[in-house]
Amino acid sequence: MSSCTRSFLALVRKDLRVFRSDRRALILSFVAPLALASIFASLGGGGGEGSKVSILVLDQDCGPIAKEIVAGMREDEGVSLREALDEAAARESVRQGQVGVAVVIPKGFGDRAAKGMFNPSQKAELTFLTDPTRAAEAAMVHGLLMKHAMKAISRDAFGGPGGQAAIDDAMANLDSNPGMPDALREALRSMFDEVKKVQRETGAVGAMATTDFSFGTPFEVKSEVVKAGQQLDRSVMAAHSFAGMAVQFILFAAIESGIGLLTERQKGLWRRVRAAPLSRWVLLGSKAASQAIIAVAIIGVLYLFGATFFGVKLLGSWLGFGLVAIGYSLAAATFGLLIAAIGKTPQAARGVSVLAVLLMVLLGGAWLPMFLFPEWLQTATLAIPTRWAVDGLEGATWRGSNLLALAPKAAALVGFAALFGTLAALRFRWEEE
Amino acid sequence: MLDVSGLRKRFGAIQAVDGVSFQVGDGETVGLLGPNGAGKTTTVAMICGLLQPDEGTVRVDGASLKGDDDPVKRRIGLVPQEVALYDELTARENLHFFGSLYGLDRVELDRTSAEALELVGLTDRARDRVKTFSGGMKRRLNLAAALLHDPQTLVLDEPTVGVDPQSRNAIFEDLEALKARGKSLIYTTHYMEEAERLCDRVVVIDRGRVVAFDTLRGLYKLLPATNRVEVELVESAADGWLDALQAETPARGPRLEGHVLNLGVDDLTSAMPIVLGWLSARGLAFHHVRTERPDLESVFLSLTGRDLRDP
Repeated sequence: MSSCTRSFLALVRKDLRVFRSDRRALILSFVAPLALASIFASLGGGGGEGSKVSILVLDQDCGPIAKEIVAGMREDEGVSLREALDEAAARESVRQGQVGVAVVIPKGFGDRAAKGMFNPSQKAELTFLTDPTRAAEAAMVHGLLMKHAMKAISRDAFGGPGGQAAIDDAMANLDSNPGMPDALREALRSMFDEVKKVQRETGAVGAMATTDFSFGTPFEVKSEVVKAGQQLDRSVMAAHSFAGMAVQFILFAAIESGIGLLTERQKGLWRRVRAAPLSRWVLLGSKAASQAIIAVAIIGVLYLFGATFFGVKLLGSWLGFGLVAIGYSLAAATFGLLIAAIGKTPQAARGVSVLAVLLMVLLGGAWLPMFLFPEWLQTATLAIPTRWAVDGLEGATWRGSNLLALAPKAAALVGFAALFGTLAALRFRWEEE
Repeated sequence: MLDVSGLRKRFGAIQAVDGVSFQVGDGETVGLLGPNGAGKTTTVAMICGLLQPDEGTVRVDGASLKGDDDPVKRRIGLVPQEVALYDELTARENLHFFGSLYGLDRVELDRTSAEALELVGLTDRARDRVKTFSGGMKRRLNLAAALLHDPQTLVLDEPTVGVDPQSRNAIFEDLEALKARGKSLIYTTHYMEEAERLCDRVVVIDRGRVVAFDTLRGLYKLLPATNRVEVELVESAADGWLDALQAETPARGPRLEGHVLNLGVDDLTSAMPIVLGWLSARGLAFHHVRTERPDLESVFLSLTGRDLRDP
C-alpha cells in the first residue's frame, strides 16, 4: 500500500472514529430521522382507514331536497358530518379550525333548485364557509356536494311536487319570452311536455320512491391506486417519509462535517494535518469519502428500519437504488466541503447552511409531494440535488423504476457532487497562518 | 540543518514577515523571540509549508521545501500553538493518526507511539481519551504527536501557553532530552525566561524583521551595560555630579530618581568598588545596593525601544 493511500485511509478512518464517538452526531444522523420518518409514516396514508373530512352542515331549508343532500353526505365514507346550530356557530367553528368547511343550505333552497333545473335564471345558492389553509378539503367537499345535490334535485325535478311546479313555471316563461326563436320554443315545449309525462308516470306508480331513478353525475368513479406490486398505501407513504428524512438528515450530517472542518481549523488541527506531506486532493477527497460513507450508512439504516417496521420495499432496481444512494451521498459530502470552504467560522456557517438545507429539502419534495408546487417551481427544483434524490429513492421503492429510469437521476447527483466539489476546491482557504 | 533565507510574506497592506533569515544546526535550539504580532507564527507557517512565502526559501539539509506533498516535510515536525488533538480519540489513536499521515505502517506506528508516550510520560494513559486529560498532559501529548515520524527539526510554536509551572518544566525536560538526541529545535515564544533556559541562539523579531540573531551572550553584549545597579542614597541630592560620575568611573548612563541612583556597569567585580568609593568620597552616603542580571527583555527594549509584552 502506498504512503499516499495509507494517509488517505487514515484520514477517512479518523473521521469515522470521531463521528462514531460523537453521541450528538449519532443521534442527529440516525435516531432523529428514524423517529421523524416513523412518525410521518404512521400519520400518513391510512389507505381509506383513517382520515375523513369533517364537515359542518346548517340546514335552514329543512325541505326534502336539503334533507336528502344531508343524508347523502352523512352516508359518504370519506365524510364526517355534524350539524351546526346556526350560521354564527358554523363560522366560528371554521375560524377556529375545528372544521375545514361548513355548508349552509338556505331557506327556500329546495324550491329554487328544482326551478333552476329548467330555468337557469332561477338558480338556488349554497353558502360555503372555508378555512383558507384547507383549500384541498373545500375542493373535495364541493365535489361531494355536487354529487349528492344533483341526485336529490333531479329526483325532485322529474318526480316530485317541486318539479311539476318548476315545469309549469318554465312553460309559462316560454310564452313570456318573445325574443326566443319559434323553433326553439316549440322544441322546448315539446321536451317539457315529455318531462310532464315522466312526472305523471313516476308520480302515479310511486317510482321515485321505489326505484333509484334520478339524474345526477352521469358516471361513477372507480378508484384504483396505481403503484408497483401489491404494497399497502401505508407502505407507500412510509417510503416517501423515509426518502424525505434520509435526504434531509444526510444534508444535516454534511453540515456537521463542514462545520467539523472549520472547527478543526479553529483548533489548530487542520494546521497540524497540513504540515504533513499530503496533497490537497488527499485532504479534501478523504473528507468527502468519510462523509459519503456516513451518508450511505444513514440510508442503509433508515431503509432497513423502514423495511422491517413499515413494509418499505425496493420494488425497483437494487443497483439503481445503490447508484442513487451513492450519488446523493457524494453530492451531500461535497456540499459539506463547500460549507467548509465558504464558511468563516463554525458559528457563522451553521446558521446559513441550515437555512440552505431546509430550503433544499422543502423544494426537493422531501416534506411535501411535488404536485402541490406550481408547475414553474416543479421545473425549477430540477436545479437542486434533493429533488433528484427524492425522485430516485421513491422510484427505486414504491414506483418500481428500473435501472434505466434511475441511472439518469444517479448521474445528475454525481454531477451535483462534481459541481460542489469543484467549487469547494476553488474556494478553499489553503494558506494557514 | 535548516536554512531560512530572506522570507517575506504580505497580507494585504500588512507586511507580516520582511526578509527573515536564520539557520539552525543539528542539536541546536534557536528561539524566535518577539511580541505578539511580530511575525513569529507566520514565519513558522512558512517553515512548515503551511504558507507559501512571497519571497525567500526554506532549505532542510540543502533540500528546498516546495509544495503541499513535498517529502521534505517529513524532516520537520510541528507542535502548534493550540492543543491540536482529537478529544474524542485516545492518546494512542491520536498518535497513530498523526503518524499515519507521514506514511508509517502499523508496526512503525506501534513502536514510535510507545516511544513518544514514554518520552512525555504518558504511557499509562495511552488508552484514555484525550478529553479526560489535564491541560498539561494535553500539551505533552501535543508535543509527542509531532515526534512520530522522527523529524530532524522540531518547530514549537509557543508550546507552553496556558501551562502550569510543573507541566512547563516537564515539557522543558522533554525538549532537553530531544536536544540531547541531536534534534534541531525552533522555539517561538514571547517569554524571555523560556528562551533563556532553552535556546542556544535567539532570533529577535519585531514587526516582521530580524533585529538581532545571536547567542545569549552575544545579545547581552548589545546592551549599553550588561548589569543594572540601583544605589539607594540616604538623602536625595542635586544631580549636578552625574556627569562627573560617568566621566571618572566605569558607570554608564547614571540617572537619579528621587534618592535612587540607577546606572549600568559591564563588570561588577571591578567597577563596583570604584563607583561606590567615588560616591563615599563625595559624601553621598548610601544604605542599599541592588544589582540586576541582564535579560532578553532588556535586550529587546534596547533594540526596539518597546517592551516584549507591549501589544
